[in-house]
This record gives sequence, C-alpha cells and structure tokens, in this order.
Amino acid sequence: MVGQGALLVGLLFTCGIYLMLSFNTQRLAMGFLLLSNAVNVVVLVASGIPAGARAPFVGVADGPQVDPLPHAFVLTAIVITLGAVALLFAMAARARKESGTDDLRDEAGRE
Amino acid sequence: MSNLVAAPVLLPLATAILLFPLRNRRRLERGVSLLSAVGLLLFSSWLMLLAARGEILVLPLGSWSPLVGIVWVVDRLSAVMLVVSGIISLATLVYARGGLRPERETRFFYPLHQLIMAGVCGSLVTGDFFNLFVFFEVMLIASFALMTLGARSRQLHRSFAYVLVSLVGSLLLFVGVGVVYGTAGTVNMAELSRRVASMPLPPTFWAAVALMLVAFSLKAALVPFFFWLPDSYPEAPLPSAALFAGLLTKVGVYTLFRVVPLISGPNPGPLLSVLVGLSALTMLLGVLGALGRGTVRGILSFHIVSQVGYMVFGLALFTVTGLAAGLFYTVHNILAKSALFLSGGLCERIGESGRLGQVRGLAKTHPWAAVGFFVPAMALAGIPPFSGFWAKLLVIIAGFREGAFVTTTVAIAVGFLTLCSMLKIWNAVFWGAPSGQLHPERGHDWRMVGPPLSLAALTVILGLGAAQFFGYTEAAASQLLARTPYVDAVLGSPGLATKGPR
Repeated sequence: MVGQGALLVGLLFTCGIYLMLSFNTQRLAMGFLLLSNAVNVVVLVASGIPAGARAPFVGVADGPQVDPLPHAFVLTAIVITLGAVALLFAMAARARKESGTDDLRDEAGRE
Repeated sequence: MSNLVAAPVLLPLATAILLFPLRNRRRLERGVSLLSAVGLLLFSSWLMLLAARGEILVLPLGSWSPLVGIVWVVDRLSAVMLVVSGIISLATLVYARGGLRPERETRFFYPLHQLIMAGVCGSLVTGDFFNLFVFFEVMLIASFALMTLGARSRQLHRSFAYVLVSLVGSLLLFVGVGVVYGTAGTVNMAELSRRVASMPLPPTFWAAVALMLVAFSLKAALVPFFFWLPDSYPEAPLPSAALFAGLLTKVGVYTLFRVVPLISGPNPGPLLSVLVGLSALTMLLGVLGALGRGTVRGILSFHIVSQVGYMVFGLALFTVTGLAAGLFYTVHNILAKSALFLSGGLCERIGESGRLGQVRGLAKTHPWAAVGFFVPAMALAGIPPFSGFWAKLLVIIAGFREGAFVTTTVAIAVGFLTLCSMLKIWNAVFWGAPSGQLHPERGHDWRMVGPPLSLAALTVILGLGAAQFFGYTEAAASQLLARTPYVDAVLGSPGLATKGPR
C-alpha cells in the first residue's frame, strides 16, 4: 500500500509542479489542484495503513483498524482546497475578462 | 470562565454571517461591524487582564480529550496579540468609510473583514496544529478576496502570485501536520511538546517539523520566503492593506514564537543559529528593497519584511530577554506599521496616486495627516521616545548579551537605513510647496485622519510606558520558555495517564 501510495504521490507531484511552472493562470490552478491531491495522499499514507486493516466501525470483528483521524484531516483539506481552487479559477476568469489574456507575463510587461 | 476563550473567534464569525444579508444596507452594515469590532477589543482586553495574572485559560471544544479533540488556549502571548489585533481591526474599520473606493470595493468588504479577523483570532488561540491549518486557510481565503476587491486587471495579476504562494505554503503546512501525526501520534501542541522532550522521535518527524516551520516562515515573510509580499500588498484596497501589513505576517511570527519553544526539542542550537542568520538577511534585504521603490506603499511593504527580521531575531536568541524584546517589537510594529499604511494611504487618496513626487507639501495643508505619518515613521526608525526606540534597544541589548555580534550590528545599521527611507517618503510627500493635491478635502475627513493618529498616539504611550509593558512581555517570554505551565494547563499535571504513540 505504502509503495503504491508513494508512486501515486510522485506522479501527482510531477504533473502538478510541471503545470505550476507555467505562466498561464488556468494551468496554475490545475497544477495547484494536482498538488493538493498529492498532499492528501501523502497524509493518508504517512499515517500508516496497516495491512488488512478494517474500517473503524463499531461492532466489526476485531483485528487492526484504520486510524480515522487522518481521514478526517484529509476530508477537511479536500473541502478547503475545493474552495481555494474555485477561487483560483474565478480569479483566472476575471483576470481574462479584464485584460483579455491568461498570461501573467503580459501584464507585468505592460507596466 | 474558560468559555471566554471562544469569544474572540466566534464574535467575528457570527458577525460575518450576519453581515452577508445586510450588504445592501450600508449604514446598518457599518454600524454592526463597528459594534462587533468594539466587542472584540473588549473581550480581548478582558482576556488579557486574566492572562496578565499568569492564568492560562484552556477550552477543550466539545469536552473532548485534548489528545484527540481541539483545544483553544489563551496565555500571555495570545492575549496581547488578541488585543492588538482588536485595535487594528477597529482602526481599519473606522478608516474604511473614506479609504475604500465606493463603486467597486465596498461590496463584501465588511463581512470579509470580519472573516479575516475570525481567522486571525482563531490562529492566535488554537492549541492544535490541524486547527491552526484550518484557521490559516480561513484567514488566507478571506485575504485573497479582500486583496482582489475591485478586480482591476493589474491587481488580479499581481495578487495571483500571492494567492498561489500562500496556498502552496498551506499545503506544506498540511503535509507537515499529517506526517507529524503519522510519526508522533498527536497534533496537539502541548502533548507534542511533552513527547519531544521525553522520547526519541524518528528523522521523518523532524522533516515534518521543518516543513511546518517553512510554512510559518513563508507566512511571516522571512528571507528567503518574502518575495510574494512587496508586489502584492500595495494592490489591496487601503484599509485591507493596513490590516494585512499589521496582522497577517505577524500571525506567522506569532506561530513561530509559539511553536519554536514548544517543539524545538532538547537540542535547539542548530535551528536557532539558522534563524539568527536568516533574520539578519531579512532585515537587510527588506530595507535595501525599500530604498529601491518609488511608491509610498511599495516602500512600506518592503519594510514589513525588514521588521520581521527583528522579531525573529529576538526569538532566535532564545533567552527571556530576547523573546521579550521580540514580542515587544512585534506589538510596536503592528501599531506603527498599520498607522503608516493608513496615513500613507491617505496621501494616496489625496493625490490619487501612490508615486513619490505626485502629491507634495501635505505638511502645510494637512498638518494632522502629517503628524499621523511622522510619529509612526519615527517610531519605526527607532527614534526616542517612541515605542520603536525601546523595541530596537531591547533587541540590540539582548543580541549583544548573547554574543550574536554580526546580526546585532546589522540590526543597528538597518535602523539608519530605515530612517533614510522614511525621510525619503517624508521629503517627497509632506515637504515642499503644495502641489498635485487633486482631492485635498479627503485629507480633512476625521474618519481617515483619526485612526492613524490614534495608532500613533498608542506608539507614544507604548514608548512612555515601555518599562511596564516590557514587564508584561518578559513574563510572557518566561511562560513560553518554561513550557511546563502551558503543557500542564492543557493536559493536566503529568501524573495523569498519557498514551504513547501508536
């Protein structure tokens, strides 16, 4: 589980950072979305997923159970990043409407 | 009594929710937000009175055990920060009536202002790292919206970098918190402090702590993480810029003051020497950047960076005097910096431009506005008898006492450079024959002149009562360095059962 998680995190980080190297506002927003998902997976994997662990329901047979707290963390973070990504896209859309371009360099050059 | 801890967070939050439906009724909206700001100041002062007696108020939310639930804690450090936050919130709200450009910026300003205060106060009271992350996000997302109010093209482009850097910083903080939980088994600050002191933790844990410290330094605009600040802050609407300048980076500084003593572990030496070096660079690069800028708020924004260096230097000395001096500096700087942004913004409104040389001669035509700039500027530069003199003197004494000679010398030199750039603004805007004053009547509006003047008066009072206030910050610093009072207040005394990591 941890190995697969690490691979997934690596893939998401690579794509996210690649997108964030751009000057295009929409790509930046997409890149941030990927990065935030990578981070969520890191937190899940780092909190340790014991082999064969069960979901922590009351009354389920004994054996190792998954710690529910990191899941609560990640759930909160997902909600927050949803808001943040929505805001980023709204800003990108408004910037395009006001200046006619998605490129951050254009405005800087016009100074 | 400990329920009082929730007031500074819940009051702005409730006000924000109440204000959203009121946004078409301007007078009522302003009235409610001013009332709420006064309430926040009163509650914070009450908390500070309790904390000054050495009490540590702890509120476990929902009565959960602090090991799994969230605790809110107010000690001397949090209490004094809450009070200054309340002061700045009130000052910027009074200023907002004249300081906002009416057509585009007034909508949603008031509820967003309350939300940002909820985030700031939440970050100041929380005793739990994950909760800290959440309150940072509340504060940041409200600040993004405030910064882009008005939605001019340049403003959107310039703020984009700020938004992305802040968001990525929060992601780093979140990774840090998650991995800390995975390796140490708790995100409660007090319990974490106990575990750091009592058991060896794996290197992964320290890597995660490093990530969190990077995230806090980014919020505090410490070198090398300051680049997002000087371009974006001047773009925010005037009252919000003053609020950001006073509070947002200082919340980062506050978290460093809170976290470093608690979890720096048994051997903090290397971390502290890194911080000493970084603070010297921060002071120097900030002030040099300011000398190269040509707009009022551009210069002032770079100075935020420079001043953060002094505060972190105080922390990095890691003695009672050092921490107390750093905390004194923080409080002084919040007041002086916000006053400068408010009065600098006033000049910008009079001349419709922030460029130096555009509007001139305000000292003759608007003497009160000039006083509102001059006093905090001299306080910032460290001229006696204002608060900045004592703040700088204390930091420098603490620095020499600890033998950090290089950084202390830098601190003294930077003081002179600060004076230079304050004089640059003074000469360009206030001196000379009056010209370029497109809207001179705006400079006589008491709602815009009053707040910087009151903050300036506070820096004078802080300067005259420096001995008493330093007594308070010294007590706060010894509370921070002793750790056990905080830890025991949150978790109960050590005899009680504490679970090990899983």
